[in-house]
Amino acid sequence: MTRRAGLLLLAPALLLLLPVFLVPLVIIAETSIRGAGSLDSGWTLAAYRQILSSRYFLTALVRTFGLGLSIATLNTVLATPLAWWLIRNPRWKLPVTALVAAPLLVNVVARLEGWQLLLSDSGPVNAVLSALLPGGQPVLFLGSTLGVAIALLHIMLPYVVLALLAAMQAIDPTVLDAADTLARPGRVFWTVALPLSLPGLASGFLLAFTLASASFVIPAVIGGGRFNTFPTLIYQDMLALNTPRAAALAMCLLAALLPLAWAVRRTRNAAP
Amino acid sequence: MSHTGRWIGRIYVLAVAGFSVSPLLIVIVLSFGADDFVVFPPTGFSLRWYGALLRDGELARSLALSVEVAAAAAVIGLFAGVPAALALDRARLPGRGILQAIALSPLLLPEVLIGLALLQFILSTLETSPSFLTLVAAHAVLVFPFIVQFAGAALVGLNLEIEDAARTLGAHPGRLFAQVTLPAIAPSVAAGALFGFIFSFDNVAISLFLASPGATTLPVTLYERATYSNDPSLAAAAATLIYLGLGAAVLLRRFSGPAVPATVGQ
Repeated sequence: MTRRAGLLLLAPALLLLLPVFLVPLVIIAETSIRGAGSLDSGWTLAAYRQILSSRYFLTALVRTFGLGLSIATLNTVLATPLAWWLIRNPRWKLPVTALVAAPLLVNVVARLEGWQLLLSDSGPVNAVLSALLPGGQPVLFLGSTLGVAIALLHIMLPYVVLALLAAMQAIDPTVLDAADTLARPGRVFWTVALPLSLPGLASGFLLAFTLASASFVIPAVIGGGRFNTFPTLIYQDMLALNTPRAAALAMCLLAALLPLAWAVRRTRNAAP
Repeated sequence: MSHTGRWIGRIYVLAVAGFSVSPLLIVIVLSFGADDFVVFPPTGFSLRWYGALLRDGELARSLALSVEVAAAAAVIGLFAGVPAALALDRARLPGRGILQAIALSPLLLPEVLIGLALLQFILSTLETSPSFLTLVAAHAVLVFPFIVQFAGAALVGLNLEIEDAARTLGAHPGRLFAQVTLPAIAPSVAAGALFGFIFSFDNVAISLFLASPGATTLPVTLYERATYSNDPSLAAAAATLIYLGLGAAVLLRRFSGPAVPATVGQ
């Protein structure tokens, strides 16, 4: 195929992406350095200065990425033994994977409605807790870090499990057979299976980190307006018509997440 | 492994699987409740909240809009994505890696950033307000990477000798594409379009930023209700979305085999 034919074939894509995606991104970057209000006031870093000098925004920044980091870590710790168990018990691989992946195609609002029902003051989780510890106050999940973390953990889990399963499945079974004849099961996992599935583990971890930090709907619904991360603050600033600050917040989020997204792609390409 | 060790493993796997499905199960159970409020456990069985769904005009309108937007976005995504995948795979374009990264970036960037950027562009540059059209255009950008990825994967796996044979027999590039290449990649492209459709149908953040009085999608309507109230009709609506999602999962397995491609984005 000639280069000219190739460019011609790219034309419809450019016609779509240029006005609906690329130009708006440039404009929002420009908005973030524009003085609030007037067009002729020139460029300024006022919005960035406001964000980086405010305790409120810095706390939200730490919360956003602290949450992403803890969710990714917890999910990796939860998913690794599960994936390894499924590799060792192949009979159960399909049904268990189906159960873990089932929520993936269900609308996120429906999944969050489930967590709202489960975690409400009079919901089943609190009913069980009060049966175990009679006389205690109901645990306040909704509107708290704990509730947001549980819901995020649930929504990111399938990605991490699937990434790990793919990596572990790609290990040559004869290698595992050889290891099994030489060492105890625990040692096979730690010295053979885990090192060989590190690319998948990294891919799942980074994906969960990126998606959890950039998530808007989960902290907005479960946090009930009392749990602010960068994405929810961007939405609030947008509603308050403080577009330069919303744009600056979005640029900060992008600057932090872009290296992660790039790393996700690299681990994807490196994975067998 | 020891007897106890085996049982610990089983219980652990059961617990994780239970954690995965519990929010779906609770929605389904409580959607059949007979009470006026959400009560756990429900005191009786009834279909009244599903009946309430059917009489809910706002939900019906937003459902119809969601389907229209996702279908239109999938069609635009196909027209933009299939040729782009072909060019990225076959033409030796300068900066191919960068073009590929740009093509996939709508899935990698935070949704709030894309939503905000589009809204600002519509309001301040175009000096108009969000509408059905802008919503469709935004969703087409979301569907696009799915088509490029699925069509690209099928093109890489294609046996080039068949195309060479067709060319030797005198097929022009257009005929070659329509009669040889396209039929070969069609199943994968269809799976990509289906994934894109579902991704568009499920999107909350971008639809929320671009929502307008005439253009509020179903997930946005439910999002707004979920943040303000908690009546049982919401459980029935969420349960319906769960049935749809699980149905789509079964359909996709038929379509694209056991491989679950990594969908990105929340």
